[in-house]
Amino acid sequence: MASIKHLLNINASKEKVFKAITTINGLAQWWTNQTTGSTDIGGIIQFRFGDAGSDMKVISSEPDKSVIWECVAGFPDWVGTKVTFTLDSNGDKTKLQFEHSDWKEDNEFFAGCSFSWGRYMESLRQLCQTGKGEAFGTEGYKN
Amino acid sequence: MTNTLKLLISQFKLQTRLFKNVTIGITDPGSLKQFYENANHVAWLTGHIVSSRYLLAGLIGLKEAEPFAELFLNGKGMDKNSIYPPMAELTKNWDSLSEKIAAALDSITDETLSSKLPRPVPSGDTVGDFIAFILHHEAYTIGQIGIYRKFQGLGAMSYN
Repeated sequence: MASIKHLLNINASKEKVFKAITTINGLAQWWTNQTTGSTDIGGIIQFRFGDAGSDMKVISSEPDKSVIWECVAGFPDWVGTKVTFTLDSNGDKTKLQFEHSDWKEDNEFFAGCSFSWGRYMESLRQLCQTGKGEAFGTEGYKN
Repeated sequence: MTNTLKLLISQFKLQTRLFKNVTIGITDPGSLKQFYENANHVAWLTGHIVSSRYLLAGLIGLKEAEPFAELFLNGKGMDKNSIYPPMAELTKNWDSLSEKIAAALDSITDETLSSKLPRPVPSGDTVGDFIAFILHHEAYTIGQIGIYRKFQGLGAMSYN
């Protein structure tokens, strides 16, 4: 099993970062503007990037601490993988640990996703710090 | 239709236009700037006005689902820890919603106008009182956004 990991500090409160990863409005501003569904525990969030994308089931959501999704449909390599966001205070900032785990194979798609997740983590950080993310489908997205 | 109601609808339509004029050109980062700590920013002011029109729509019998209700429903105040939508998202239903409300106001009955509100507003406790109050409230809030326009180096709101 392979995992993509990122660690970053965001100059915003844990509450704000948590809202960015647990509301449709927030997710649509840093990952893809084609985000629909329910962010409640047990809910399914649909993320689309044009015709492709993934459906994530919310496995757990602990306010201002952590969120875990499991991919239940979409990119074949993603189905069965888990995405975990863990938040912690770091002075006035928020430390975010990101992990996309349980990949069956470390292949080219894995490497490409690793790059993309890094970009989207920066987009998340910019959204929380400046109010302007760079989600897929938005004017700030760099193709 | 009474002359009073005609005047209120005329003001409603004027403010439909002024809302667009006062928000045009305000960037997303600009919409989050504040005069001072705890001052309401433009993103909140904008969403608050839109939310108020959804409230009006519901009171006169329209069934319109309010987007971003979690941020604005029932006059919810600004929250510095919330993620506010881009201006384009906040305003995208404005025209269609306003057209539906204006059409409904054109044929509103006296019975609806005199029906009681779930909770009173400063101008009274009927739907008619709410219409009068919301028009004041919109003008008051549009004026606040107008100040932000100057604050951000944009031109004054156009009345055209």
